Amino acid sequence: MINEQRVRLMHKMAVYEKNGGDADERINAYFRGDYISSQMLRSFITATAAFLLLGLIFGFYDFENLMLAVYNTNLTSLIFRVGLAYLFFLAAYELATYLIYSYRYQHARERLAQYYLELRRLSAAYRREEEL
Amino acid sequence: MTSLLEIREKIIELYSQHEMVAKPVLRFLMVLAAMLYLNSKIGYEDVLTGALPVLIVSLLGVLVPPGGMVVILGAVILVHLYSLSLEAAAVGAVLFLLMFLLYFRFSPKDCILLLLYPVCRMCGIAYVVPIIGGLLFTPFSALTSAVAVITDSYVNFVADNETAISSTSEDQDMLTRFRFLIDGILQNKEMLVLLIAVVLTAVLTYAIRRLSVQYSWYIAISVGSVVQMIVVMAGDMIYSTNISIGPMFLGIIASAFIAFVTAFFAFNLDYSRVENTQFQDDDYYYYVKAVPKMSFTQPSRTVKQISLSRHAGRHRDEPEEGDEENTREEYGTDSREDYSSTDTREEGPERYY
Repeated sequence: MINEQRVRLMHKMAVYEKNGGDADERINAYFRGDYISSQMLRSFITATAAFLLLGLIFGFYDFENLMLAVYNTNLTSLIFRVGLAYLFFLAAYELATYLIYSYRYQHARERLAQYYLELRRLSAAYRREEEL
Repeated sequence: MTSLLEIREKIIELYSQHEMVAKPVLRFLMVLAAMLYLNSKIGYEDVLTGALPVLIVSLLGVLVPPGGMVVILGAVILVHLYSLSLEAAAVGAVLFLLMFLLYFRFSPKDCILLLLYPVCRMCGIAYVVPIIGGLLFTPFSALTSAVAVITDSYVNFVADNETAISSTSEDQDMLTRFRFLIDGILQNKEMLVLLIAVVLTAVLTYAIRRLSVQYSWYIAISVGSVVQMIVVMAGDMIYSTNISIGPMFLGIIASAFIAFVTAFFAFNLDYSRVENTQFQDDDYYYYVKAVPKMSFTQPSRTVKQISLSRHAGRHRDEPEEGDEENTREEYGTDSREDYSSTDTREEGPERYY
């Protein structure tokens, strides 16, 4: 005899597993700090690559003025300004990464907590049936 | 209003029944429209403009998820640009790479908006994209809309200046053409105005839609449309862009109408979630298809038999519904019940598939 209540519960859990449950499990394999710092490390790499790409395009676009600036102004000052711009860019990007992945981690944990609660309910339903 | 709700229920029911066919067909048509749009604008590579390649790429749209399809369409754009000029392809590649590094690295879930943009652009209703993004997704759809606007502006700029870009004369060396292309992005005031408009619209629409006030979805659409119109008109006055006010006005009105229709279907109703799941326990394999219940109850029809019969006017109760999870499960057997044997009956919201 099929227990309809239990099928409802199992279906709800199967839907969650199908739509994002696996991704949540992968997130849950990390501690919060590890997960966010690994994402911030990835962001550091992508932000640095993007900044270099932007610098390359800007250098190519305004090559003459860039050369003039290198010869006429203090090279240390130019490097300092570029470095400052990079730091600001990186800080903004890392902040966005931190906020986004903190949010994702927290919500993945909440969804998983609900999933495990349903798992316990399901297990209890099976136990009750066995006892009868 | 009641008849509108009835029509909505009928459409949702039809979609739920044919979802397995409707979804791939819609995705195919969306990618097909995007390919036709790209070919009409920058169809420089003959290999990609034929009917067969267009069909193959469109069929890929059925199999590949939206994120992957965006990458494929990006590659199609680059191949077309490369056929025109190396510089156009190089600037396009850098643009796409920057977008990939800075935005797609966060794996956004609203890539479908990027695929929708060309279709909407073809129909002159590109203004609907940030509104739909704000209604159905997160505030990050502002960035997705911005990416769509930047890509579209670049494609249009190349299409409008193909002679200058493809020119290989002595006075136009490679560096000049690079500068011309980058200026086409940086000095494009029309793009700037559209960027501000879509970002503001998506964020405002999302913020208002989340408010706990009555009709928040409809207020969000109205505010989003008005803000978009004001920003575009103000931008046109300040920067003297070439945006035609008439088509823009009509486009925003049509976009608002489409957004209202979307809200009418999407508000409070997860109609597309016909879930098919398979699982097992020690005793059974379960193949479950769960169809969300309809939120609107169709009006009861009572057939009254006017006669001297003693049984006239007898009613039969509606079947009870277990609504713990607002879903109906089927277990491989059809539990359809026939209520037609009685003269007088009520038709409730029950539907079986």
